[in-house]
Amino acid sequence: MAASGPGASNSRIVRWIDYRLPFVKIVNHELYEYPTPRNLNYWWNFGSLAGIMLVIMIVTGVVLAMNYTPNSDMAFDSVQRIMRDVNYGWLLRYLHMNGASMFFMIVYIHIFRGLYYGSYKYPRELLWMLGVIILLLMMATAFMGYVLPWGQMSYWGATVITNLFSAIPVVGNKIVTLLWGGYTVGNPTLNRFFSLHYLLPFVIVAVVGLHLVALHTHGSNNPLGIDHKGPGDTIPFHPYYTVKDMFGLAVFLLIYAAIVFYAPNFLGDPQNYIPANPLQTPPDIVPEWYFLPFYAILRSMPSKLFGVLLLFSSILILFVLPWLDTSPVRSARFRPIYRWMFWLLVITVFALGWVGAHPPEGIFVTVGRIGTFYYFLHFLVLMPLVGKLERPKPLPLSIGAAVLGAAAPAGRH
Amino acid sequence: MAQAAQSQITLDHDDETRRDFLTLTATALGAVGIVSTIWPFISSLNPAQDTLALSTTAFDIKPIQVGQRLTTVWRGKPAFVARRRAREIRIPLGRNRGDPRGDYGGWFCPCRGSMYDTSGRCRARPAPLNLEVPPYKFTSNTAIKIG
Repeated sequence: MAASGPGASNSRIVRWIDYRLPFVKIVNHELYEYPTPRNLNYWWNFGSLAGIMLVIMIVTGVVLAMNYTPNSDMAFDSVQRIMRDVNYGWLLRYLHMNGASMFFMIVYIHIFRGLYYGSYKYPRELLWMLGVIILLLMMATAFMGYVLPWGQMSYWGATVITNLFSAIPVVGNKIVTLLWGGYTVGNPTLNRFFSLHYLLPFVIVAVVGLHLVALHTHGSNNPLGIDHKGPGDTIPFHPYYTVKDMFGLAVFLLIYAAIVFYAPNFLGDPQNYIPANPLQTPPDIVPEWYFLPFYAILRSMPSKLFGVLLLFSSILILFVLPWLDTSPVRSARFRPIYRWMFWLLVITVFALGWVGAHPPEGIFVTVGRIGTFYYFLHFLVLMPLVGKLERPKPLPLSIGAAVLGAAAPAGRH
Repeated sequence: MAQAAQSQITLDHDDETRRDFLTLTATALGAVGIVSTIWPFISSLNPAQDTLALSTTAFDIKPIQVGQRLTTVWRGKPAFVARRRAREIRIPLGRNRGDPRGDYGGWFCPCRGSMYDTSGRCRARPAPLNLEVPPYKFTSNTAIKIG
């Protein structure tokens, strides 16, 4: 591999192709020559993990769609048929269903990694915003996918979420009817959700492509948050980070497999094994765990419209994050105040998740309101303010110097 | 020579207004074309004719006893037909304690904790509206048509 090195290949076929379509050249450039900071820690594994998870979701999803029937009379039974009669159907469905949870877990860690190390700052603002678009697409895809088995929670979850749009003044109800294709969540709704659930993952693939182009324009951020300045600061992506990513993947697959084989329904709601019944509301309507913090924000407000606005703002606020953060220092390692704010945000999001899983009464309402308040305070007030007031610790001269200490040969930077 | 230059300028000017006109009309027509092409796609998402055809429900109210509430389906949603007790009508804001379905003896919304009384009025927020009263009429003394 090292022998092939950068530059032209000896193979005439490769040269013939590259002259017309520079495929090998691009792979070579983006994988072998691509200079990557030498100090990336394991938090940097989650980007490639998310990409692999997207592929797993698409592959399992395509096979599941071959046995699934998107009709409100047959959907529930067709999923049961997949579980009982289709060869390895149980495995494919459990992989897909828990895969959604794994995908969100990975992406949430990936986002918090970006928040801690300031990966959204100059010159990676568009890279970050593309990531937020991917998150929004993932949420839409996951929501519509959850409706497909047509269980009680599918039906009532879809009812609650689509009804959010009825909070829009004047045209709200018209929009909801348009979303449903009827006067309630029903067969037309299920049909269009299946169509979109199949479409959106490929849209995600396209946006991931743009995300990667933006990433490779300036390269990865790193735990120190300083730019790489020379060959002493970087190592080639392959083999160093392919190996590190593979190791991370192996550890992740162990966790994923443990859930799929030993606790496949741990993350799901048992209510969804009851066929959808429009005449009976389940005792408690709870979304999947990955939506719980947002659900808590929605329910924290005593007014429906205001709750819906807060819910959407809580995600859209991430788009303007690069401009809300006024600190020129990227990594929280060198930001003594922001560092604590970050962990407070993590605790807040967990607390909101806990609140979202419980009925909106008593202590849960109080905690939900405090959590929602801090969430917005963090982004809208503290981030712009702390960036200006805080006194960052001195930054190291270079990645190489920080990693190798005084032993770093000065000439190589 | 000066005359030639003059005519050249007028020609340019003419050309410009003509081009502006063409650009504007072509853009306007293009926009109309795009909107009228998109329209069928959006419209296809609205309820289809067979869905609309199911929008009335006939219901016989004869067997309902005082204090009883029956559930029927209208437009795929439950519709409640109740024959309220005198006290439910007379004391509309009275609070029924100990009812497992909510504090007001009516309906409870599990999503965000709204509560409704036996007449479908919203008594605890965040629901912005009362339960919807569908259009109905008495087709005879003992039968109603909902929708």
